[in-house]
Amino acid sequence: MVLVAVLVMILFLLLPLNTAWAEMTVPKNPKSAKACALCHYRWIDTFFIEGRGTDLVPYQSEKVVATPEMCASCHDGSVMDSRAKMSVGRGHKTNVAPPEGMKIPEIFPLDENGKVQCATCHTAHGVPSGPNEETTIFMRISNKDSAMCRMCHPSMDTTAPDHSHPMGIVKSKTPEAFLRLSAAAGKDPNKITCEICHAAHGSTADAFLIKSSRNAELCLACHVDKGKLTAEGLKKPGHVINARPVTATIPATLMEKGARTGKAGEVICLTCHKVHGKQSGQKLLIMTEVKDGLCLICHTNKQSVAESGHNLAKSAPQTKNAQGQTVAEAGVCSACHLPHKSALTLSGAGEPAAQACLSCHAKGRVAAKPKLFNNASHPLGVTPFANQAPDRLIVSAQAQKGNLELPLFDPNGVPSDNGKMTCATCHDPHRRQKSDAPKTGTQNNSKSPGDLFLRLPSPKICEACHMDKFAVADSTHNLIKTAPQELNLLDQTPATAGICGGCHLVHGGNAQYLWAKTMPKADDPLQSALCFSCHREKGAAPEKLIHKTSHPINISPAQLGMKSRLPLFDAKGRLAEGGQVVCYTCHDPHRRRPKDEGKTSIQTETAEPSGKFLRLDNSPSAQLCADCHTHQARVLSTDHDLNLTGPAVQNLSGRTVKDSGPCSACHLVHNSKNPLLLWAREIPTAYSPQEGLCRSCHLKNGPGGAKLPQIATHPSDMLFRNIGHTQEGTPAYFPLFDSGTGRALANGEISCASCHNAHQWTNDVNARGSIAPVEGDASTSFLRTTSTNMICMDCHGTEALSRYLYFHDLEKRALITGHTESFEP
Amino acid sequence: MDRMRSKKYTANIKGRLRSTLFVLLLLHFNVTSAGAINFLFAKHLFDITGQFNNPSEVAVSASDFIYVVDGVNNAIKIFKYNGEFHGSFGREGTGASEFNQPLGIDIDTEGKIYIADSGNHRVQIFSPKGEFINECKITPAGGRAGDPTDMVADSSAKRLYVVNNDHHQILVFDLLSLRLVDTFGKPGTGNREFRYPFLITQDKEGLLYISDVINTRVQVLNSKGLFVENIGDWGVEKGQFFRPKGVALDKSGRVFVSDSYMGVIQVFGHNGEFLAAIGDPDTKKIKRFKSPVGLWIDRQNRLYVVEMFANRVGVYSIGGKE
Repeated sequence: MVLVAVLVMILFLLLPLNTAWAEMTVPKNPKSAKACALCHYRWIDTFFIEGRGTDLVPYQSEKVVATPEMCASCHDGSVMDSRAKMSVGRGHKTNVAPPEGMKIPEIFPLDENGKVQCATCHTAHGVPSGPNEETTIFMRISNKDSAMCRMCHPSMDTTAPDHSHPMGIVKSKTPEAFLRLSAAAGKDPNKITCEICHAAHGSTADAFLIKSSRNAELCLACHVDKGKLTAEGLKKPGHVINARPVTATIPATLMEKGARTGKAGEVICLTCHKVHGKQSGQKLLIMTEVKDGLCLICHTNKQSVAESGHNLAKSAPQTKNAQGQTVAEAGVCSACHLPHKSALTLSGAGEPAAQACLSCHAKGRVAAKPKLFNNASHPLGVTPFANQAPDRLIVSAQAQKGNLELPLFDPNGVPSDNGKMTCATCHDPHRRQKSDAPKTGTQNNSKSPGDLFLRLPSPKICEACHMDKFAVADSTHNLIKTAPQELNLLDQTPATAGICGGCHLVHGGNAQYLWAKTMPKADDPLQSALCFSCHREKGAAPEKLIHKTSHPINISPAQLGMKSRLPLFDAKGRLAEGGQVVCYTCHDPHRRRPKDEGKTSIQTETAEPSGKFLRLDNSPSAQLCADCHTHQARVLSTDHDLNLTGPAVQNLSGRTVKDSGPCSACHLVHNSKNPLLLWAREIPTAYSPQEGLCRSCHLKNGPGGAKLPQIATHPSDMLFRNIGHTQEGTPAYFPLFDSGTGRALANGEISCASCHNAHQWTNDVNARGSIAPVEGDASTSFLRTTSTNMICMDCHGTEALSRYLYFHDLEKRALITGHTESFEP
Repeated sequence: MDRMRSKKYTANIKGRLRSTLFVLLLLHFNVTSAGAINFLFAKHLFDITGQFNNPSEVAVSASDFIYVVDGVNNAIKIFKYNGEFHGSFGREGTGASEFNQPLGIDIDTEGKIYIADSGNHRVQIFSPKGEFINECKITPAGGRAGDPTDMVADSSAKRLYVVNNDHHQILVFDLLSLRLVDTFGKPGTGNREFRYPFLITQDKEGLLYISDVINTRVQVLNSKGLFVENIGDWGVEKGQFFRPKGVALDKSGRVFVSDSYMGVIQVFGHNGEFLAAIGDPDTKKIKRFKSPVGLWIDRQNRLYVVEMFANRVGVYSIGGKE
């Protein structure tokens, strides 16, 4: 044994040093077959000649040259990276038998089991067969112009252009970016081949399309004019795509004929078109045998248009759409809609849906509607939901999201809960009135509010958004009851125009609030002009006239330092922060009483302030006045609140505080005889207008007779220059007054209101008064200030305090001044 | 013959003697088993299946995070040492941190991650967390785009060796400036020539091990690009390759080479001699993998095998030789 080992060792040492040990075990010359056996694994000498396996691998008896595993052994990135194409998603099927009936030409061999393998199409000995005919993808024959594809798939051939998507040279160009995605890279962009859309390897889309057809992306790559949006992001005219049907339903019959939808049921190109297979008509449409094309198959709820005036076949058969087609040529829908082009010539200005309507209804058009272009119409592009101005005591519309009975639309015309108003919110152009069932529209062509293609009858359609305004029904502003003969701008009586139409016209009204009446020329802001169109002599409400001695309008509370929740308006009548007071600031013409108090019957209307269409109650709390005049509201619960001290006292209008509120005891908002502070009482003779105001109560037998000063006048033979005391609201405020008008001036006379603030009992307590009946002192008693920095000091120096203290004491004052004075009111 | 070649020649003689003695011992003690194969048993620890789509390479950081190149998903997926998913970075695209079918990966001594972003013709460099740091563009030549399939970063020599697959060469970049400083190889079958070099690794001495796919060998070059040796040859016997792909070295310098078509991993000695095939300790037979491509051996002597078409990474403990 040892001898044998030594002999073997000697033999080994005689071998060349560079002879690998492994080679000793490999038969013959395996390298001779390497070029072929690199793929023809079976031909490796070990298998093919010696007929055996090795320690590493079993004997290979079958050819595996074009199995996916063999191809992938180089196409895994080590020679060529085809991983995505070979293994991702969908690709041409392998390892499956061809479908029954498919005839596979002999040149494309199936495997031993009759299945398609890589080798069915590919061979390493193939012809130059790459898309650009310069590269090879090892195809068995040239696939120029998809010739190879067609040999197995003749049914996809397109010799009849209407039966399948056209192939060959076409007018349009395939986008370069798209060509790069496809297996047709480098090809003529004007030539359509199978590879333009289909990638035999590596697709993730159905039918191994290079892009999914389920979202129209594939089709739109070339058919860019059919896209949804323009390059600028604007909605293109045409049928919506990639959106789930909202107003239509795709019927099963269409799906059975081969219609496809997006993954979530969206409308896509293939919903109407079929790219391959025998079709029934032109443009690869799935169904063309139905009159008016595919439209009404899905849009069944639009079928009633055929019986309406919007069927131009009946109303304007010679009219042509923007593409020059009559309804007879292109169907009833084509008058307004074309699937991929605009059927209408739009003006380009205004809300898109309105442009569509006005393309026929504008002045000079085939169905001109004067009320649409004369005067104003309801605003479009707005939302009808409440809380648009939550801090204001006014809302234009009160609809609630989710409960709105009318549709809103997004910028693309698709119904959306978050959309805005368009013409189609109120009008359904496909149906004369809501009761019209599809295809059963009435033949009655008489004009009535129900014949306006409204989605709801009027005025219910108004109420859908403006429900709060319908409190007007139980008020004197319901003209059907109170002014039945009053005509609106369209010469309609309230009964004809409806409860809203007496004052507002949705189309044809004035710009301000769509006012349905001629607005009288007046110096007042537009808002007031609305009111004065009835509240004027010879108007519908002559008994409720407003004279000039009324609360000022056309003033800005903000500029006076006031904050208010009441609505204010700009010069154009629009709600505006910091705007001006108008009638509509205090009054809500749709509601006799403030909202929270509910409706009241028209039969029970009395002289109560809350029955005066006020936005806030004014009795007993003076809420309305106090909303602006917060400082003056401190009068409440003081001796000057006649709710406490004079409930039976009547003002010039004969009303008590119970009737008109605490402010009305002294001020009349409308039609006072006295322009000074709209004083509500007879003003007795006095030394000055301001003193006269006070003396109107503080006189013998008057409501304030218990507080009758012996003397209340300051010598008036000189004017005082008021320096440092003119800023209202500051501790040193000490106003002087004009002896003629009673208005505050910088150079004026001292009067009652110089020392007294009739609205505030305690000078340093900026709140409403206390109802405790206490006798006043120098810190209360409606006195403005306890400060020594008062105007009295300017003239009287240190003597001022005693003069101030004994101002109303006839005797002590005479001792100080040396003069004897008296006053008998 | 330069100094390196002379040194290598001497080493080859020593190695050949060792192999001869080994064969003699086999013949002496078990002559009937002259055709038998040695196995290096690898105990299967766990598989990482991270919803891969044709992963190609794997690397393990010094902090024991496992990075897998998930090529068709255009992502690098990171796993904890126990195989639990940790995170990923990258997406399809051409910008920073975006990939187009990446293939190779390496991690340098600082923990920076190098990705061969093949379809984007560049190597991207990331922090261990996957934050983009820099990129090294592989420029086209001869009308063909750069085709980096793998790279190895030599921090001590400040060199980045990039396999330029379609160009059959190794590009050498300065690791700091990322400027091209040298090119090794050309198309061919001789020494220092390649036919589709694919994956690359480096040993402690700086030698580069490059799988030379169509030449069916692993070619070893030194850091200057000089030829050292070829490991393996054409064929299906032990020590031969049909589709050599992944290369990894263990602590002792043994060379592990995967063959994606034969589905085996073979182990070679310092001098290129066949030592064993990876065996299954349960069946005591050769361990068969499904399209094994990238390999990595970590400091715990774990062997990581990327099985591309099985979409998994197998993790093994390398056992003793039987």
